[in-house]
Order: sequence, then C-alpha cells, then structure tokens
Amino acid sequence: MSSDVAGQTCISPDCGKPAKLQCPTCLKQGISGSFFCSQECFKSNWATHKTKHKAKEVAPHDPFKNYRYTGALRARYPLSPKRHVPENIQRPDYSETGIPVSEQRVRGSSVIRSLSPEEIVKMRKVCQITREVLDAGAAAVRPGITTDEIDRIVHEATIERGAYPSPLNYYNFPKSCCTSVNEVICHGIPDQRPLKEGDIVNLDISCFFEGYHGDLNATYLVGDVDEKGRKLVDTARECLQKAIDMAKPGVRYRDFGKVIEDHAKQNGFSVVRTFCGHGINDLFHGAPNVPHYANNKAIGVLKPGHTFTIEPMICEGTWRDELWPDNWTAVTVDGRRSAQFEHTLLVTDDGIEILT
Amino acid sequence: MPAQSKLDILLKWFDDNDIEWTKDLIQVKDVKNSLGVFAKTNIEEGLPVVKIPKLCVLSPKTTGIANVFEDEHIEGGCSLALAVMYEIAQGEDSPWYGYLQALPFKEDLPVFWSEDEQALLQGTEMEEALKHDKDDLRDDYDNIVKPLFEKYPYIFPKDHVEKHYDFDSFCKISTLVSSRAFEVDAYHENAMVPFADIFNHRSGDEHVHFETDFDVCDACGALEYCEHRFLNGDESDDEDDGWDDVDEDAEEDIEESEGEEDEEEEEDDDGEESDQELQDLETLEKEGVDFYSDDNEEPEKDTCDLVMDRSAKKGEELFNTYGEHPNVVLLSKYGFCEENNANDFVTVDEDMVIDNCVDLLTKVLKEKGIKATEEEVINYVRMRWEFFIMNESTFIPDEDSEDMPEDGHEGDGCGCGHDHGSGDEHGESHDHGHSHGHDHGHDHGHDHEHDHEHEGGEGCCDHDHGDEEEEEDDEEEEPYRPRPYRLLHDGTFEDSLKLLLHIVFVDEQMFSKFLENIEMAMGYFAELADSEQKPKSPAKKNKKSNKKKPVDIFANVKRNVNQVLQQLVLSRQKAYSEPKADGDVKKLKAETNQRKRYALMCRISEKQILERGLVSYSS
Repeated sequence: MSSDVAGQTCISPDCGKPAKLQCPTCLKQGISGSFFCSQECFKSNWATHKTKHKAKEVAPHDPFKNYRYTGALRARYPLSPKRHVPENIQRPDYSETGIPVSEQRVRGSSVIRSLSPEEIVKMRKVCQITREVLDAGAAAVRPGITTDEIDRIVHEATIERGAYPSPLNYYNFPKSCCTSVNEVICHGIPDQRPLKEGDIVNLDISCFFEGYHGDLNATYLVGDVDEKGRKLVDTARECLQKAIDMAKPGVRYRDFGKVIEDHAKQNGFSVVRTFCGHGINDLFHGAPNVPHYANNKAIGVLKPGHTFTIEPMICEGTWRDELWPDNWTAVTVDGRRSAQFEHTLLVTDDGIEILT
Repeated sequence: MPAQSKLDILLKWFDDNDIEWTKDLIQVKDVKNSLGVFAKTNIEEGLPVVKIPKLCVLSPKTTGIANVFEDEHIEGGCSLALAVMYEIAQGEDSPWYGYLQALPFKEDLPVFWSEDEQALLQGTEMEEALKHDKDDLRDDYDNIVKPLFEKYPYIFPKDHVEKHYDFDSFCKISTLVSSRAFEVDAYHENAMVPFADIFNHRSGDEHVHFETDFDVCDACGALEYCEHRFLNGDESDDEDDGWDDVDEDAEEDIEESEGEEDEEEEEDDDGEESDQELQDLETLEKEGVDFYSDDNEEPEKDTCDLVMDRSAKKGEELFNTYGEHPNVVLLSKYGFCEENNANDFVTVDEDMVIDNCVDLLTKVLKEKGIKATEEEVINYVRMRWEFFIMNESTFIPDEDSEDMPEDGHEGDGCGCGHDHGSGDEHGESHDHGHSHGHDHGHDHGHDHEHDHEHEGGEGCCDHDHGDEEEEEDDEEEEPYRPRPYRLLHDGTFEDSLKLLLHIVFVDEQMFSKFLENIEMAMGYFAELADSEQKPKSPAKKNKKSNKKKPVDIFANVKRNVNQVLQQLVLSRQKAYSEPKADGDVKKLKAETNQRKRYALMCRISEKQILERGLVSYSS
C-alpha cells in the first residue's frame, strides 16, 4: 500500500501538490489513481471527477442536485463521451494530461511576445479556420438543438480543417467549444439541454493549427428574443467594436476597460470583472491580461506583432459571477443574462487587424 | 491646486484602491506643504496601522509599460524612475494619478544644489558620491532612457518627451524614487508604496516599521503556491520523505537503512490517513447535502503593512526609520545629514594605498641596502596585493556575502595589481538593490522587516540595470572606479586594509609560507588579532617577550603598516583645503543656509574622523 500512495500528485488540474488521499468511491469501485491532496481539492473537483465512477444514471438528469442555481438554467447530464481527434492532427501539450505546461511556465510574466512575420501568417490561418468553425456552429443554432449537438458540429468542422479544438481537455475541459446560455457568462459546457425559443447563446470557438491558437466568440439569438435581450447582445457587440476602434501601438492594455465599461453603463449594463481578454499565439492563454472594466491596472502597452483577444462580457444585472460545481460554467449571481463577443487581434504598425 | 485638495484626492485614491488604514487612530496632515502621519489618539505598540495591497504598488512590474522593460531588459532604479515618469505623463489616465499628484516635486538632494553650495563638499566623501550620482544619472538617461524615445515613438510621443521626459525631470523623479521607494518583495523589488511613503523618517526612535512577505514567487509575485514553484521543483511544502527526494549521491546510504525507512514511512502514512480521509461525497450527495458552498475560504491578502514599533501619544507625528546610514547616504538619498554620525567613515582609494606602499617599501629596501627599480617594487606589491584579493573572502568571511560578491576579484585573472573590480563590487555607491532578496529565502511564511533603504545603496540613483545586461556588456559598463578602503568613525581603518598591508609587508619567508598554505596566513592573522587585543600593560608586555620571535615579526610589520596607515590619513587630509575641523565648526554655528549646513556637517564629521585616525596611527 505504501508504495502505491507515495510520490503521487493531486489530480486536480490546477494543483500539482503531492497527494496521498484517494476518492472513497473510486476505492470501492477499484478505480486506481484518484489521488487528491486535500478535501478542498476533492470537493472542488467532485463534479467532474465523479464522471469517472461507473455510471449508474444514464437518463438525462441534473448532476448538481443539491446546488443552489442562480437562475433558471440547469445542467443536463450525462455529457456525451469525449470526442475523438484523428491521430494525424497536431495537438497542444495539454491534450493528454490536461495541463498546459508551456503556458504555466510563463504565467505571471509580463513579457508580451511580438510575433515574427512567419508566425503572423500562421495566426491568420488558424484564425480563419476558427471563423469558419464558428460560422458552422452558428448556422446550427435554433430552438430544440442541444448544445452537445452544436459541440459535435463544431468538433467535426474543426477536425475537418485539420485543426485541434483548443478547449478539448484544456485543464480537463470535457468538450470542444464553450456554449454559454442566458445567465452563463462564459465557459458553459455543451450538454443535453435543448436551446429554447428566446434564449441567447454564446458560442466560443478556439482552434489549434500548425502550432498556433485562434479564439473567437459571438452571442446568437435563439428564435425571438425580448427587446432587453437584443439590446444586451447589441451592446456587447458594440463594446467589442469600440475597444477595437481605439487599438493601436502605444495604447495600454489597461485602457480598453474604460471604453467598454462606459458604453455598457450608458446602456444600463455592467461588465464582468473575473474574466479577461488574453494574449494568444502558440499559447492558448498568455500575457497580456486584458480586463474589460475601467480603472484596472493591467500591465503592458500594445506593440506591433502582439496578438491578443478582447472579449467583453456584458450583464443585464450584476457583474458578479460564480462557478457551477463543474468548476467551469460561470454564471451571474443574480441569474440575469450575460452576452459576449470576442475577436483575436493583431497589432500592426499603425493600428489593428482583426484576425477572426 | 491648493494643497488640501491634493490631499483629498490622495485620500480618496487610498479608499478606491482598498488601502486599509486605522482612520480612528491616525490621520494624514499637510504641514507646510509636506505630508505626514499623526496619531489622533494614543496608539499601542504592535498594531498594524496601514495595510497596502500589493496590487496597488507602482513598480516596474505593474506600470503600463512593464512589457517594454521586459523587452528591453531594463531593471533596477532606472526602470522604477521611468515607470513613475510614464505614469505621471499619463495624467489622470494613470491608475496611480491620485497617488502621483500628491507626490512632492522633487527631493532636495545635493545634485540640485547650486555650485557654491556643492563647492563646500570639496574633499568630502559626498564630493565623489555626488559626481558619481551626476554621472550615473547622465549615463542612464543617455544610454537607457533616450534610446526608448526613438524606438517607441508611439509610447513616448514627441510632445510628451519634451514635457515629461527631459533630463531635468529624470533627475527629479530619480531622486524622488530613491528616497521614497521600498524594497517590496522578490517580484516587485524596489517599488513605490502609496501611503507607506508619507510617513516621514528619522533615524532612531521611530514609531513604525514596514512589513512585507518578501518571499513571493519572483516570476509572478504569488504569495501562496503557484505553478512556477511546482514546475521548478521547489516543493518546499512537501513533507513526504519518499524516494522522490533521494538523489544519486545519497542512494547508497539509504540502501543500507532501507528496512528502517520503510517502517517509518508506513507509520507516517497510517497516521495521516486516519487523521484525514476524504469524505464520501457520493453518500453526502445522495443525502442532499450542499457541500459545494461551504468552503469559500478567503485567500490570504497580500499586503505591505506599517506596524507600530512602539506606542505613540496623541498628536505625535509618526515616523518610520531610515536605517543606520552614514552621512553620505543620508545626504545623497534623503537630502539631510546629522552631526557626529557614528555610521560615518572616510575612504582612501586603492591607488593611494598602492602609492604609499611603494614609497615605503622603496625606502625600506634602500635602508637594507637592496637595490630595486621602481618597477620591481611595484611588481612586488602587485604580487602580494593579488594574493590578498584572491583570498580575501577566506580571510574575512563575509556575513552578508551576497552584498559583496567575491567572484568580482577571483575570476578575472587580469594580471594587473590594482585594476580589480569595477569599483562596483565594493563601493557602497553601487550595491545592487536586489542583493538582499536572497537573504530572505529561509524562514518561510514569516513577515520580513524591510527598512526603507536600499541596504547601502549610497547614490541617489541606484545604478542597476539588471544582472543580465551587466554580464553581456561588461566591457563598456562602468568607468573604472578605484576601490575605497574605509577609515571608520573610531579612527581605525577597516580590517581588510590592515590585513592587506600586513601581507604586503611580511618578509619573503613568511609570504612564501602563505603562498604554500593559506592556513599559515590564517594563523598569522589570528595571532595578530590576539596580540592586538591584549592590553598594553607592562606586565603583559613582559609575558609577551617570553615568546620573542612572533612578537618581533609583528612589531616590524606593524611598524610599517602603521606608517602607511598614518601616511594615508595625512594624504587624505590634503583633499580638504583646511584639514582641521575647528574652523568648520565655527562656520556651522553661523551658517543659516540649510544645504550649506549639511555640507559643513559632512565635512566636520570626516575631518574629526581623520584627526582620530592620526591619533590611532601616530605611535
């Protein structure tokens, strides 16, 4: 026994601490390797971890029975099995382990890479692919379709183009895109819930091709959406556009937030603070950090060759967020709707190029 | 803008930036256009009165142009000054506007004095420091700051450069920064810490001290566990003594005692697991327990704190400390100095030492009737000098070895006697701000006190462009500055000079023993120290004369050493137009210009040290 538990690390994706404790259910079921460093890590990973246990419930159900949801939306499991990526497609370093080691090495660094002309060519290419995949997914949005079905379409459109769907297994994310419905701010996991007339849904698509990532998202109306909802989506789109309009070399990454927040506030909406735009290149997420709220102290000034995203999340009510027990789905704490738009951008010598 | 409203903007900025301060205990007041912190009521010792989140610290890591510093490898004092200049140039757009607008215009340091005021410093330590400061500022501005304007016109537009980034502004901001910055932690290094810097300073009898967790991740600044520590294998939290930690060298030893180890380990495991087992969440879930929302522990807040060192009375101004500094540091960094400062010293540079050694040796050889050319004498001194330099760290083990890198002298292998070191290695004026980052590696999880100082950074601008750059273009770096040796406040020279001179003056036989075996030299110095400690009572002298031989050796060498030391004091005195302190003391009494008073204080203190030095080495 002692030889089994020594030298183990916590399987919680962002942890990496030494671990000796094992999941009791796994021990009962004879599933090996389920080590956690602490009760806290175990709990916070329960929702995703328990899918490893031998399935008893196959019928569609709410996996977080005892969780106090903030709005009307419910998770609907089981998730479909992990989708397959053909062997010949180049994968990012986390595709097996779930841990983007290359990203972690530079986390916290204020170095913002300027890409070479060759790299920029590759960024253009992957961003083009990402755009095509989003369009394919968006074309499927209609009342009645499950977000899991959209994920299938996105996944297939991605691998069809020889690309790897960046979200898949990124910190163990289970699916190939994020689908964020109504009060979900971002990082919704595609599941068995069919879209309903009047929903708003954000599709967040990221692709990895020839070593580079592209990242793009947009919010869509499902059938007829009320006026407030349409205004929310329009405002989110305008916020992104206004931020892009001011982008050029010499502008600071901390400056976008003011423009975005001003416009959101003028329309009676708020701006999410927890999630930010990010540098993107051969790393899915890196420096700079691009907050969307005013008075932030983000580091860095735009230089030609930088590639990054702006992706404001605009809320009907409060900007405060919380996570579902799946540790991914971010929702507004008041359960009111949130909309988002995103582009991957390249800083040019005298302005900005929208790559997606 | 009237001063009161500046203060209002500042106080609002503190609130907006989550700076916590005990508003019922302390208050910020504007006294004669200078801010200070005062006790509103009696305050007890040990209380933290201000907590400043590290998130609102202004450092080269947090400024909007942090990535430019990374790209251009700009570090140290110059980068902080640039960061502050940049943020000031952004006006109200800067997130630090509320803080910056309340900063004083500049610190009144000697670099800003008029010519006739500066002239009073002639011959003093300050004269040289001032020259270096001026040179360094010019050098930094021309070689680091200016090229940025050309390279990044979109960051430093022309109108901004003219208005905010001229040399004059650079000097002012550099002095502001050096007098106000704090060493925050391994990530931020030297940084502006709003609020902490409104406490005025005084040496001794201060009320508050600055506390910060120095030991953060130097890659991302995280106080707690971050992936860098994991990735770099620094798993200091790991209590597991399993085979992970066994390195190849130790393997053999372990094998012998393997049986024992296993037993121990099993015990350990059992103990831990019965203590702490994972809850059966599956059962809890079935029972309808919402275990998701009960563990929202607040992460430890990462702040810089000002803590009361002693109690304070209602109405008193609360002071922070400057630390123990000689006048040359106080004056060049903070713009003031003190009479009879016990930390003061006077230096003689190594060229002067070499010249005096050569002169005396020539005389001694002549007396002995040995013919030697000047070159031969110089070579003789050079050989001994090099021997000392090579072994200095053995002779004088440095308690704080990080501050005084030995390798500056060991490895360079250039055969010339006195061109060792760039002056950077030993001169106080260029101690690297982050050197003491390493001192704090042990002692995890404790608060570390950091004085408001750069640990000996003497000049008003800490000339420090980061190690990387220094290694790369070592050749065109610093101009040669001879190494200074100190005559301390009590009128005796620092040990290293004493030992150096002994090595120069021991006879050939002794020196060859030293060369053969360094222990011989160590033994010699130990006996020397012993002999010096013995009081000069006649009884003891008699005892000594029993062991006649070693005493004779010391006596001969000592005579020569003392003669050189005395000569050094005399030579050093010549730097002043008048070597005696009396006249200056009278002048000081009559002087009303505060700057001139400071200059005179420096001069008097030094002259008195030299006078004590003459007494020490006259016999």
